[in-house]
Amino acid sequence: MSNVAGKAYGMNVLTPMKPWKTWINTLLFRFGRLVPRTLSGLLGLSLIHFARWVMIRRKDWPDLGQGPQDLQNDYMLFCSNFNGTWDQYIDAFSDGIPNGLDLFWYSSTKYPQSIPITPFKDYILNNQIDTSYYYNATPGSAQRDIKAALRVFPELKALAARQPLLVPQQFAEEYHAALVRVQNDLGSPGYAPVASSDTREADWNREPFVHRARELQQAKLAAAPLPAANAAPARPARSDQTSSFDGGHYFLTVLVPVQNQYLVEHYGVQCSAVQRLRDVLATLPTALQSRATEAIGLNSPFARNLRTHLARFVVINDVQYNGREATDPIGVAIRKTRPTDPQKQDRLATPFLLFSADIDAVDGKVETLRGYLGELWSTMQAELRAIFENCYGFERVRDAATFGDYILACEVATTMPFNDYWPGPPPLKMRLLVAIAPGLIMLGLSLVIGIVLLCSLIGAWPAALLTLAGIASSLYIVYRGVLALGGQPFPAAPNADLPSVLKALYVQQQFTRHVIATQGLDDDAICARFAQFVAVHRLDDLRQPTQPPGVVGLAGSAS
Amino acid sequence: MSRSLNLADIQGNILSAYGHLGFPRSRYIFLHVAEETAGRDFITGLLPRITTALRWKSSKDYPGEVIEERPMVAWNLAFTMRGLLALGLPTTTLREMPTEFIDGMAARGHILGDQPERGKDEVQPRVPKHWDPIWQNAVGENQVHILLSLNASFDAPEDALDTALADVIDRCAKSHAGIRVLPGNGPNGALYQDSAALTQPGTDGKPKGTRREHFGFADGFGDPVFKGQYPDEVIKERAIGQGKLLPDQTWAPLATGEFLLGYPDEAQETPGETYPFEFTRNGSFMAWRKLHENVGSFRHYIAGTAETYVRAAGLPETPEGLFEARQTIIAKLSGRWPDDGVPLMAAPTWAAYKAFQAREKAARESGNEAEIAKIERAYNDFIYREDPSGSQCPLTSHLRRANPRDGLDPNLRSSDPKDWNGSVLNNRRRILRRGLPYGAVDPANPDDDGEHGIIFLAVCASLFRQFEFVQQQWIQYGLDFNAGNDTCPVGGNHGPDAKFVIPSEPGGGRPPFICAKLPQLVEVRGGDYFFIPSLTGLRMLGMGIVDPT
Repeated sequence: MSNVAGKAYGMNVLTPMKPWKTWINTLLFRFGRLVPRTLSGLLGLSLIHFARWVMIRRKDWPDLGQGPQDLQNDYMLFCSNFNGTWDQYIDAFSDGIPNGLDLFWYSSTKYPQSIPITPFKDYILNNQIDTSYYYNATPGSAQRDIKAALRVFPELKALAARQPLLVPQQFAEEYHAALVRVQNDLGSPGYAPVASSDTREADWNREPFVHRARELQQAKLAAAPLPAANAAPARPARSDQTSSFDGGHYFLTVLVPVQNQYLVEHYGVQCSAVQRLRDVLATLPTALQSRATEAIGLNSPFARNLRTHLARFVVINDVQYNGREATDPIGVAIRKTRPTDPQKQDRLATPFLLFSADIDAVDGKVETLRGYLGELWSTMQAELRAIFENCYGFERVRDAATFGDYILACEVATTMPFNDYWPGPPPLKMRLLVAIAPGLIMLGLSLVIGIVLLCSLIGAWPAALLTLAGIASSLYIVYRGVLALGGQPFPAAPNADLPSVLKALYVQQQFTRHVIATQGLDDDAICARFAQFVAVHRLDDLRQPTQPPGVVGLAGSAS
Repeated sequence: MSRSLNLADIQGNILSAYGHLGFPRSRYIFLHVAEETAGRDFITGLLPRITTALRWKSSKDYPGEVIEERPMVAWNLAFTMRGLLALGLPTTTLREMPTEFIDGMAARGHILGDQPERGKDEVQPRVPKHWDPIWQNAVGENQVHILLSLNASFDAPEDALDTALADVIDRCAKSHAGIRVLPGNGPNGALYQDSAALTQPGTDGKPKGTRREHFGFADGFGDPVFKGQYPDEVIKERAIGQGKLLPDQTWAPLATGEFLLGYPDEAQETPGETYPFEFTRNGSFMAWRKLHENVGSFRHYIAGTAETYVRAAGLPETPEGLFEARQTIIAKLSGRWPDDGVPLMAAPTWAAYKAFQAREKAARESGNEAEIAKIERAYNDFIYREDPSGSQCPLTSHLRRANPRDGLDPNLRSSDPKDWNGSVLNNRRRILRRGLPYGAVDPANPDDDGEHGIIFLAVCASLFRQFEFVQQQWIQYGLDFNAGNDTCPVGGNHGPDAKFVIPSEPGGGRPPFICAKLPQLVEVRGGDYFFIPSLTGLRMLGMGIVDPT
């Protein structure tokens, strides 16, 4: 288990909602996306790489033959990749955007509100599920660091484009002006501050077990390669999850039931599948994100592709029971019910494995997602097998296509995606009026027609009923309008794809060294040295030279 | 009128920075309790001597009713977790203590940046290797249990601290080794750690205390102001620049619970402390740290960097130009001009600084009280909204890191004042800073070796939320200031690529200047976390009647 990947902390919070309240929270999220001002505090805190809120209704839990869930409640899953320690994050949000938090958890049962902080922290802690495996492609750079690099990168490209047009004196002037614009964007990447002494110790202690696990997985793959596909996969029909796609990224959320019927073998010992799964995830190499993981020397299998910003596996043992819900003592007295009679408690049929990833995508189409899943299969089959062989239905997976089918069958749609890799404030537009205009027009019409009808020959009661029906359908259309337009993706920020982010981080680190080496030189030297800089670091070539995924930074720049 | 604090129940070192109140010399004595009864008797015996927060005659810091005579030596007691264990505190009381206090400072070394990360096959030492012997030895029968702090008044006899030490040693002797003074402070194994204000010759030729520490920074400006700390009639004025900035841009004192246990804090709750509340109320926590200063490296670095700086900044390469460059670099690193502590936010350039000094001199000479008050206020009355680029006071200077004021407001740049949040993200991270320099540096030949630095004390209700956060996130890291892993240019750890950006004014035509390859300036030599009980708490400890049942 590790909730920490470099400078990112992977939080998962699963909170129950009364099914009749779920729509309210969905509406609040979509409303927020139409009124960007409501997100300004969240954006201003600048602590999150990617976050998502996922409404899981009772029927949304995938069924691969494990049986139905025994649930009274819908659930909201919140997954965040934030920078800093747990306390720091909760404190910053409680102090910085208390009302926003209270709206985001509006429908959650027993949610105490974010101020004062202790009951709020207790609620989060009680409903948080630890991350079993966590990968971060940029572990040495927090969201702010990435945004800073994404400000430096285009400045330098623009300078490079201008250079041939200018004499050294003019160039030096523009160079210095550009340097002032990015003067506070030259921070160094590096190891994250130690989240806790315990995290650090566990990181070191894990080392021998990571090597052992890798040997086992490779041996298994060699001994028993999966048979080639002999029939066309089932390809379950499925519509595109448009709300999971946002700003050029796909927010993949997958819930796979974990086998819990029989024992399995693991290193020659019989154990439960959940135990084996937890061990596989605990010993899967993470990014090279600390001295200890660098000492292990094996990078994450996710670092074999250039599309995954962050990914995680989380074993959800069961939904958390938050204790008896309060009942009104007067009602209890009148109805003569007894608080000692247990209320119904939710249970999942099996443990579930949550797999979530934040990936580059051109759209939210099923085929785009299949392309990504196929890439995973071709680059990390041994690891995927070691993980998913503990889950229901994996015996059907034969190849990349059937793996795609398998994952797609278990996907749940993201309700509220969030990412901000914009170099400045995101240029989001207020779109509320567009969303609710049809409903408002219909509301106006309903009122006019109602008045006309009231004054006309049909009786007052039918007229009033018709008017009410008109108002109700108008409000419904407003609701649908907010849901539909609020679910549309935001535009993609420039250079927010992983290859560009990595190149930007590379360029920013090199440029910082360049500035130090050239400050105080005369205009001719400034000009010549910058031309050299551009020639060596090839600003337009995303492939090389650049920073590979899953490392802290360029050698020598980590502090 | 707000209810005043029970000053007679609060130890004086929480509310007062003795160094600023005419107590220029201090001595810290660490003790080990081998036998519970001896430890309790020691506390009970010292109880009448403990200096409380009651106002003294002649104290200008505590206007209002004067109750107490000024002591010649102020005595205060504090305890480590292991000390409380040795004194026989009940398990229920001990287990509800905060995690970081239970751990102790050495075990938090990786969080604080005191302990470097080990290599693959290296064994991590229990305490960092440069710590004083007293901390290296602090296991088993040499564990540090009690800290006795002595602060001598300026008019105390020269040997007042020695007399006090003799008294303590006498008490230990009478305990038949039930309680012991621990040796090992500094390389020579002293029985105590001294510290004292640096002096300079006054107008009468006698040495006069200054606010300077060995690097030449002016220290001890701006300390949090909280409810109940001062009488109602003065607190509003004192809160300016030192309390919290409200969203409406006015200043108010911070909540008492940020610094004293048992009171509501800035999160609008009374934080949970251990039971019984009678034992913890009016107490606080303290980090005691001995910070060695590499004065030679500092002087050498500033002189070398000034030579590049004059060229980049277009200053003349003359002694005057180099002097200006050196002073400017030091000011930019710290946030205040050296020696007198004029803040960059009041005087961002050399010329503005000279003008400020001239104004202050003129005001003092003419005795213009209104003008003097205005100037004195300028030392603390500033916010960072007007300086988003840090071209006045760099974003990563020591001053902006240690107390970011409104600088972290997520809506700081909003054009709508209704969006502003003031210092809300800073209000729960404040610490009361205490302490004085120790040792001496030869001004003619400043070096890194030898015993010199500062004894740094941070007093707060939660060491984890306040002291450790500031140390780890703001001093040893730069994220909140958009500076990645760049650490504090003064107090932070400096790897081979450590740097500090002096931002330039946007549109001013000058490039920024990067101070590269910062040397390690500050190194920890030891310390621990202490609980400072109230007088009630001390009495209960001494009697052995702490009972959470």
